[in-house]
Amino acid sequence: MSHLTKIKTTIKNREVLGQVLNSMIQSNDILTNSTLEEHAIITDYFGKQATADFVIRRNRNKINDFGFVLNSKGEYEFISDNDARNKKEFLAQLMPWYARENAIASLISQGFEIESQIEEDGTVKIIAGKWA
Amino acid sequence: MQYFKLEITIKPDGSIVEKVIAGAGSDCTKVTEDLNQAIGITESETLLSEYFEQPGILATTDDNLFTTNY
Repeated sequence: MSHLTKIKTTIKNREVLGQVLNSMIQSNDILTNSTLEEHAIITDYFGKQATADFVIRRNRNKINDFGFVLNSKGEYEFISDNDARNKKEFLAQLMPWYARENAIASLISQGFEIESQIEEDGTVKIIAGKWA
Repeated sequence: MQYFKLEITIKPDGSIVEKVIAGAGSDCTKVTEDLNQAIGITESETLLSEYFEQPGILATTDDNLFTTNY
C-alpha cells in the first residue's frame, strides 16, 4: 500500500457515456421505449430550448427528456426540465454504471490488466495491475 | 520496472476509492495520475507509510559532521 485516493466521478468520456445510455435504455424501466439522439434539441416546460450532445427522448411528454451538455471543463452536465419524471432515479443509476464502465475503459487504455471484478451490495471492486 | 497493483472500489453513489496495493514509492502517484484524471476529480489523497520507502536509497549518517579534529 502506498496511497489511497478518493475520486468524485465526473462524466468526461463521450464514448463511454453513449454506451452506458444505450445500455440503460435497453434495460431500464424508467427509459422504456426511449431513444438516444446525439446533438439534438432539448425543451423545457416553458418551451425554452438548448442543444445537447446527447438527448434521451422519452415515451411521454417531451418535457421528460434527459440531456447531456459538454461544458467548458470538458465534463458532460445533465440537463432536463426541473420536473422531468424520474430524473433523480435516472442519475442515481447512471453514476455508478458510468463510473464502472469508465474505470474499466480508462484502466485498459492506460495499459492496466483487469485481474478481477467483484460486485457485492452495489459496491464494485476492481483489481488491476501493470508494469511501469 | 515494478508491478503496480490497484484496488478500485466504486460505491453505489458512483464515487471511487483507489488504493495502490503493490508498488511502493513516489512512482505510484505518477502511475495513477493520468488514470485519476480520466476517472474524475481527486478529492483527497493519503500517502500511506510505504510511500516513504524509496527504493535504492539507504539512510546514512555523516560521522564527520560535528567533528572538530582537523
